[in-house]
Amino acid sequence: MNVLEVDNISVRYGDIQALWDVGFGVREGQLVTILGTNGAGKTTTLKTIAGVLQPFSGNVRFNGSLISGLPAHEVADAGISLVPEGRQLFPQLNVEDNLRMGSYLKRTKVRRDQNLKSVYNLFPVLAERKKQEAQTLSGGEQQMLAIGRALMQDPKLIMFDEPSLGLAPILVQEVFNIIRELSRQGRTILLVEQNVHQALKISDYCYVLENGRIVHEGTGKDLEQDPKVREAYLGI
Amino acid sequence: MKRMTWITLFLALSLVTAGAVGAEAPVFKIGVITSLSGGLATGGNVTKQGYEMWAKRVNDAGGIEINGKQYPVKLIYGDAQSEPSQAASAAERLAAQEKIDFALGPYSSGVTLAAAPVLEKYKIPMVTGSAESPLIWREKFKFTFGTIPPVNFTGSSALNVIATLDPPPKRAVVIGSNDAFSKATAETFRDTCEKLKIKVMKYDIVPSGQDLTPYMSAVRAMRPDVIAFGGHDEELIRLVKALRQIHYAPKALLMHYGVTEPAFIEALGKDAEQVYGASVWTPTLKTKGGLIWPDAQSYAADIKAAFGIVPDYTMAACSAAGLAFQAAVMQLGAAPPLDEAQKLALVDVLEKLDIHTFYGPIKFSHEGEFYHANTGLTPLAFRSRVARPLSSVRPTTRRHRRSTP
Amino acid sequence: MELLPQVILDGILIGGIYITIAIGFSLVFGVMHIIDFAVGEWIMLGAFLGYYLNGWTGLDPFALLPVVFVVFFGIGYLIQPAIQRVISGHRGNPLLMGLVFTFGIMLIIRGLGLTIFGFYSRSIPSKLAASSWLFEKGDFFLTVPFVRLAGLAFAVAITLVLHYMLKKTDFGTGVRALAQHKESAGLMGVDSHKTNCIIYGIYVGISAMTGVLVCTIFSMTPMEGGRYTVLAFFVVVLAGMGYLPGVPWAALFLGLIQSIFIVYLSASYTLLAVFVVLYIILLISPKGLFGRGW
Ligand SMILES: Nc1ncnc2c1ncn2[C@@H]1O[C@H](COP(=O)(O)OP(=O)(O)OP(=O)(O)O)[C@@H](O)[C@H]1O
Ligand SMILES: [Mg+2]
Repeated sequence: MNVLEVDNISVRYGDIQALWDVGFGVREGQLVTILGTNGAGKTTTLKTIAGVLQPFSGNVRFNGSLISGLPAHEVADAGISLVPEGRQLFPQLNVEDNLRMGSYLKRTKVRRDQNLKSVYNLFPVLAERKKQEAQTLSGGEQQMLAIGRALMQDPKLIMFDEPSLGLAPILVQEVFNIIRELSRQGRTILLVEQNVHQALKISDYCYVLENGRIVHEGTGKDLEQDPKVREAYLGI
Repeated sequence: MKRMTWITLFLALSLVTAGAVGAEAPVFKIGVITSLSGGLATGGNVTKQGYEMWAKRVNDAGGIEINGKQYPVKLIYGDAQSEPSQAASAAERLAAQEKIDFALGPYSSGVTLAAAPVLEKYKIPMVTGSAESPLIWREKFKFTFGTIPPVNFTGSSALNVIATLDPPPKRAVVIGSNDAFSKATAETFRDTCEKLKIKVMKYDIVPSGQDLTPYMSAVRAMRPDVIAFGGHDEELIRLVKALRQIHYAPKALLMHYGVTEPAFIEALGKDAEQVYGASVWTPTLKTKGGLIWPDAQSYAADIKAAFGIVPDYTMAACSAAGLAFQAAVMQLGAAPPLDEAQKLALVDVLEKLDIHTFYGPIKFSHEGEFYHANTGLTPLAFRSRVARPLSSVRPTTRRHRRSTP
Repeated sequence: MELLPQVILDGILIGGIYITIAIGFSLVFGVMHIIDFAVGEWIMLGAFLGYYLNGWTGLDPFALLPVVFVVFFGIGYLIQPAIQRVISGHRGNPLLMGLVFTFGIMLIIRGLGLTIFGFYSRSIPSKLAASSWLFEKGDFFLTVPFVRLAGLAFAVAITLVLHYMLKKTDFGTGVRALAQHKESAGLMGVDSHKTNCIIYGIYVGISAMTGVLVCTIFSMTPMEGGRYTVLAFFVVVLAGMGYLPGVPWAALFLGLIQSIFIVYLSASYTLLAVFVVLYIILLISPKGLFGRGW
């Protein structure tokens, strides 16, 4: 049973169409990756699922109920979190307030203290910088904060949009370790990455997006073997 | 045959309608240039009500009688929008397009100064019931008349009364709001103080809308006997409230005309008590009029019935402006529409006019610094005494005395 | 020199009034980037509601403030979606669209105000308005008008309540988050539509209460709103556009220079002087006194 069911969505920005009939699914507990070059439509896909954008055709279902058409705050309430591309923190709120924003919803407020504790456990550096404004954090710390903020939302599906972007190699590794760990805990994850090697290694299933259309799909191993994918995305 | 009946009927009908149109009686077209919108709309609407009241009474009686025939008056409004430039274009439109016979003037001096030259160009006489700045009369517009004497003619009267207080005041602070009328008032206060040997310790022209509390705190430290303020009602109210709040009552607070305005008294309630002012007319004034209203009381009653308010001197002066026109055109015996020669003749008649109305005498000066202003009136000095609650619209009786002229 | 304490006190009291004029205005700009040209009109409408309520009930204007707030909160809440619609259209400059739209609202309210309330100036009587503390010793004196002191207390109370709301409540954190990053706030579950409505309601409510205050301390006519719009602009620009914590200080600063100028320099040029000071400060620090505005 797919937890998330994206059914042939088409999306446009004004007159410019970005997605054409994109459809895929994510199963409970799976880690699914969407690959694609710059401008392929990956961010657009995630934002559409999150309710930031609305498809003009097709729809999105989550746990069987229709969520396309709902505003972002209701999608969040339904249990979908997005760790957006470029972190998109609240720059002048301090670290703790950024995290608290993660449990803004009634659904998650009740578990706020508990979740805060576990996020600080996962990222001790955030605990040290509790009172610091988010804009003063380093890139890596900001990424931790963005992930922590999403975890505060008690998501049933967590989506990462290029979490490794702009990080030093050690930090990239750390981010992937975290995602792998979350996956191991049984969370359902939808990951968008350009770091194809790393992504293929950890994902259960992959989709390749090109010019707003899905052009390949398969398990991480399958795609790694696919010559076309190797040529286009692995540079081999 | 049936068809013929229809055609005849149709022809007859069209003849009747055409006849009705053709036979429409000529009327006096009177342009009213005043501010119905913008910052001066308050005063502008006071003038409008004054002009309207006159026109209504004239038309109720069938019109102005010229050589045994009645000619109604028709008011055509041009909104000056509280802007001199708009006043000029409104005057232009009324003169060129509406071809008015005569004009009734704007509220406020600045606007009047802009409208007057246009009417001069088209040779259309105007009587205004509101402009009070001496500047207008210094321009010596041939076609412009005013029923209210300028502030430099009236403003000194209240000071003359205050000078007779015991002990006589020795020191004064004079403040004026920053507009033509208020400045002129303040200047008059200052000059009169000097003439009366009251020392002017401080003289300031302040921008309108400013919080004067700190200024008044400073003034209080100087301990003047008289504070004289030239400004429109809005500023007067603020000043009195500011004094009240800092618990300071000078021996005499002098505020020109605003004191008698119902709005002022309503807005201030008890605060208006210690205020001196000058005016040219009040509803309790003893006057005898020939045209329309026999006295001030009957006029006040009429306004009360029509608008539910007590008229102030501006409204009365506006109705009186209409009366001045009515009297002049009756003397001239010219039926509408007036041609250029008749308009010129009308100016001559206005210059020689000497009538008594509910508003008091109207007699326009024809030389000197009061050229074409009504100098037939005797200014009054007032002390505002109000004991009514704030919600009351009616001002109560005020004691007033004739000033020494 | 014996005047100085009075001058400073008067400046602070004027500043208190400026706080209430500008604080809601700043909040709305900070959260939804609307420059509301009608701020003075909300003040004017509030003044008239206060005036009539006082006439009917005879209650002191300060006791009427909650009622006025509730009524105008409702109006602001209901009107916000219309403004939001205009500024979130995809064409044009949203800031400009907002300006033009609220300018229209201003004209409508002013016109209606003139028709309904008439042209005369109104003022609300209050027991407080006729009393004051007076200290006098030789040449030295200090007068503290009660009604203005109450106005300052009200300004401080509003500031503290807003501060508490924004800093200590989840709703307030959500509001700040919304101001800083609308999209992320949505992802966190902030209903921007509803939040905007509430904030706008709070702003209109505060402005209307300010109107009651102003009408008690000074007076009000339906044409007078523009004066307060200008003042709100002055304070907010000086504080830094949308930088709320700067508002009380900027307001007090403006009140003080106004009070000092009017007494020690020339009463004729006070407003000009205030403007020049504002200009110089903006020249040195274009983002306001604290460099934290837009
Ligand atoms: N706000 C926007 N307005 C107009 N076009 C947009 C907008 N955002 C994205 N696009 C266009 O939509 C297409 C898909 O963009 P999207 O951001 O989804 O790509 P992406 O796969 O996330 O790329 P990247 O890897 O660079 O983040 C691109 O052609 C882009 O130019
Ligand atoms: Mg992207």
